[in-house]
Amino acid sequence: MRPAPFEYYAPETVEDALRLLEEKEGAKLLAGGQSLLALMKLRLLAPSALIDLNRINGLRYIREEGNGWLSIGAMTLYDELEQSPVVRTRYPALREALYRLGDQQVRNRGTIGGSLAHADPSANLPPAMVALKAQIVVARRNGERRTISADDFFVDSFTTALDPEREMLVEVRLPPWPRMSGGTYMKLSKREIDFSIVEVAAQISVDDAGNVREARIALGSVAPKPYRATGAESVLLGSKVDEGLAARAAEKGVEGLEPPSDVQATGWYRKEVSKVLVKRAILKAWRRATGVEQ
Amino acid sequence: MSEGQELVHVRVRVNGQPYEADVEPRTLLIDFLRDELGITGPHIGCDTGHCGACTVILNGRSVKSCMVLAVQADGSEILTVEGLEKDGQLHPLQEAFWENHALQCGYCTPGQLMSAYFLLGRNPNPSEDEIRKAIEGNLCRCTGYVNIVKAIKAAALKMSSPRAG
Repeated sequence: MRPAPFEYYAPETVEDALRLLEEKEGAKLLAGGQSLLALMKLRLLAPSALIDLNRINGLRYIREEGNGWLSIGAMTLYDELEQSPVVRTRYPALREALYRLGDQQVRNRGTIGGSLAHADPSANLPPAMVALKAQIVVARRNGERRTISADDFFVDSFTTALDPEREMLVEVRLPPWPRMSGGTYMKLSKREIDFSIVEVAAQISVDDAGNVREARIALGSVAPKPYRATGAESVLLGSKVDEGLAARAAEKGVEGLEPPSDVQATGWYRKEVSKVLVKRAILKAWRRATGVEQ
Repeated sequence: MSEGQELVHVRVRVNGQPYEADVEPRTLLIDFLRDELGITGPHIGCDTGHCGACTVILNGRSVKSCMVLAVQADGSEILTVEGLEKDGQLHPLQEAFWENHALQCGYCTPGQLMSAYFLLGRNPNPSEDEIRKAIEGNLCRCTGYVNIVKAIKAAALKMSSPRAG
C-alpha cells in the first residue's frame, strides 16, 4: 500500500515550514507520521504536499524553566518523554499515558506535538494534557506566537484550535504543581495496542491535612474531545478521599456523559467503565498526592 | 534535500554499506529497502503499522519501516536483520532464537529480533515483563510468545556474561 503522490518538503526552520504551509494549498505538516502516514496509505487522506518537520532543529527538547514550568518541544519523541526523569517524577499521569501509548516502535517515532495536533478522540495524551493544565504554544509567520490552554485547544474530533493553513504547534508547557500533588493515567483496551475504550487522567493536589485543594479529571474515548469530569472535581474539593467519596465523585463526574457506541464497545458499557476508572484514578491520584503511594 | 513531486535522491548506510537511489517521495522505507536495495530481511506483514515484521533500527531507534518514508531516512544509518550476523557468526539473539525454538514460520522473526536488539541495547538485563512490553509491537501468530521471551532472556544472559567456549 502506498500513499497517493504528493510533493515533499523538508524545511529546516519553523518560519520556512509556515511559509510552505501558507503557500502550498492542501499541504499537511508531517511530524512522527505514525497516524498521518497510516491514513495516507489507506487513502483516507491524500494531501497535495507534505511538509516534514523532522529536519527542523530546535523543536526537540525537554526543559525545566526557572519558574517551575516544564517546556517540551513539539517534535520531542514519546519515548524521550517517557524516559525523562523529570516527567517520571513530576508528572506521573503523563508518564503513564506515554508508557501505554502505542508500542516501542511508535514511541520511537511519534511526537507529542503530532499527537496533540492530530486530536484523535481516543489518543492517550489529550486527556493527560487537560488534567495537567498544559498550555500549548502555536506559531504563525514572522515569529508570532500565541498560547492556548489544553481546555480550549481541543475543539472536536480530529479538530483543534489551530488554523490548519497558517499555524503550527511548537511547544507544550506544563505548569508546576504544588509539592503535595499526585496524578495517574488509566485506560481500558481489549489488547494493549488497541484503541482505548475508556481512558482517564487525574491530577489532584492536597493541603497539609490531606484535603483536596484542586482536582482535574479528564476522560478520553468517550466524547469527540477530552471530557472534563467537573462534577467529580467539585465533589472532591475540600475533602479527604476515601472509597465512598471517590465512588460518589465518579458517579457525579459521568452524569452528563453520553459516550459513543462503536466496534470497540457500546456507549452504555463505556459509561459504566468510565465510572470505575474515574473512581480508581481518583484514589490513586490522592494516594500519590498524600505520599501514601509513589 | 530536493523539493517537490519529482524523484528525490536518497542516500543511506544499511548494515554499514552505503546505498543511494532516486525514489518517489511516497516510497516507504520498507519498499525502498526491499525493492530498490534488495534487502529483504525486513518483512511486510500487515502494511498498516500493526504487526512489526518490518521493524528496523533507524539511527539507533527501532521503527516500523512501513511507517517511515524513504526520503525521511536520507542521511541515516539503518540496521536490518541482515546486519546482526558478523563474519559468519550469528548474533547472540539469533543463536538464542534458534536454541530456544523461538519461531515456527519465521515471518515475524526479523522484526522480533530488531525489537529485542533495541531492548537489550537499552536494558541489558530485562525482566520478563520488560521483555513482553518491548515486543508488544511485534505480532507472532505461531509461538504464543513464550519461546520468544525465553530466547530474549537467554540472549541477555549470554551477552552480559563473558563467552564460555
